[in-house]
Amino acid sequence: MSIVLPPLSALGTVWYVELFDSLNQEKADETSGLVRLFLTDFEEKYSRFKPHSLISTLNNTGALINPDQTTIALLTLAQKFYRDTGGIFNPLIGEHLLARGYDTNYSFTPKTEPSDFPSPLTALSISRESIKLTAGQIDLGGYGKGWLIDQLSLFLRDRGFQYFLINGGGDMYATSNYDEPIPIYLEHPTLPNTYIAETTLKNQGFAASSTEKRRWQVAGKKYSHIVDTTNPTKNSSDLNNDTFGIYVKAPLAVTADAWSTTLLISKPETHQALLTQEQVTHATFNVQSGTLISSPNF
Amino acid sequence: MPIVVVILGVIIIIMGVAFFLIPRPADEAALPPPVATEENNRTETMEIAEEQTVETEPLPSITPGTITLQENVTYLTPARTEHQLAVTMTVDNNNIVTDVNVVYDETNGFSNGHQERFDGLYKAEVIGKPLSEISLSRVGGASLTTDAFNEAVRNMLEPQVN
Repeated sequence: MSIVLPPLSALGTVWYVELFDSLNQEKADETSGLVRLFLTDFEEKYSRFKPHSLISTLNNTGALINPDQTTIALLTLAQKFYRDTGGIFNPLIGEHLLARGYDTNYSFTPKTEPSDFPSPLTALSISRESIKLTAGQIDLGGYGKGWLIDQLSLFLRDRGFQYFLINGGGDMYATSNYDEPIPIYLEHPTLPNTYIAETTLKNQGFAASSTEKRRWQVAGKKYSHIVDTTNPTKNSSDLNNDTFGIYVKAPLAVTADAWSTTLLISKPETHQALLTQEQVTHATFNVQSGTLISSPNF
Repeated sequence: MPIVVVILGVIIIIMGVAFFLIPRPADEAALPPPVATEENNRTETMEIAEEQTVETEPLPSITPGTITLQENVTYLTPARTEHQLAVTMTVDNNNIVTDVNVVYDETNGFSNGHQERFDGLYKAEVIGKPLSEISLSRVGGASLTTDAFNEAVRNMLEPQVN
């Protein structure tokens, strides 16, 4: 038996925490409150939609003085993913999202998008004394939720929980159900209330990406929160002629999160050596053909 | 004494008959070899990626334990390369796919690196169950959007519709 805490809203999506450890209702209620505070604190601190967050400060002023270790680690990880993916993953897509109207107010009023993507290796300098941003705008959407899921898992472990599953808007981390793998279900990218396959997680993170979610249309032109960093001039409606869902597993949720977006844009075989090294497995679902292709051990 | 000899002789005869009538392991090995099938033609060098054709509609009524579906499928990778698949599926009593065999591009080899990575077998049940039966904590998918986002999209669309 497990307890699923009441759903929470954070980072623009719905969060679930399922606890398999034995606990009473009082403990469950207390934990739910602590989880809510944890998520809220992260959002206040790092969401670009919050005007006084650290990310907004960095985007607006170009600098953070005496940054804390968490912020340093968070942004350093973005640089790592940029290197690992050959530049496909890029946290400096904030300007492009803003230009598409994906802003604090969800205005969806498009403007001209920048034609290039600054490199976080050169435009973002990180040290214990300061973090400086000299070009572009940071958006943590490509991996921030995965990062938060991993942080929350550490938070739960510190409070004595061993067996749990965290679901942040469809991205997850799960330990186990008393050492048994936990079944999860891959959502169909387009059909509501339908899943296409069952798989399991055991001490793994999971993330999914799709060309279908979070998209909108203005004046006959389609937009998405997915930014194709391989082609600055490509409209999001050109991302694919078919609709795809990408599902990724990795030892950490943040790793799965970063790769789920990357693999929606670029071919998996391009990164195969690194994916194998980092124990990242994946599956691709083509909605039009109804086929699901998965890497070994997904 | 003669009686003892006779008895011993009968025993020996019985043992001899038994020796020839009871099958030995060597006899079982002499059974005719299995008929070559597509399954048995797999070799070490022929690493086939298992693929499941996902059905969201109930499968038709079929004879259990037999290969009942054979489809030629075209699939596209996100990089928009197109490939042909010949898929055969075995279905059990409950219309659950228990075995899937896939041949890529009508060859024993592979047409690109994307397929060559699929060594080993990936077999999974094809499930088309509604999510209403599943706890939402277990659903993995692209970010579920909050009401705020959906409302903003609706508000944006309304002037266009009007």
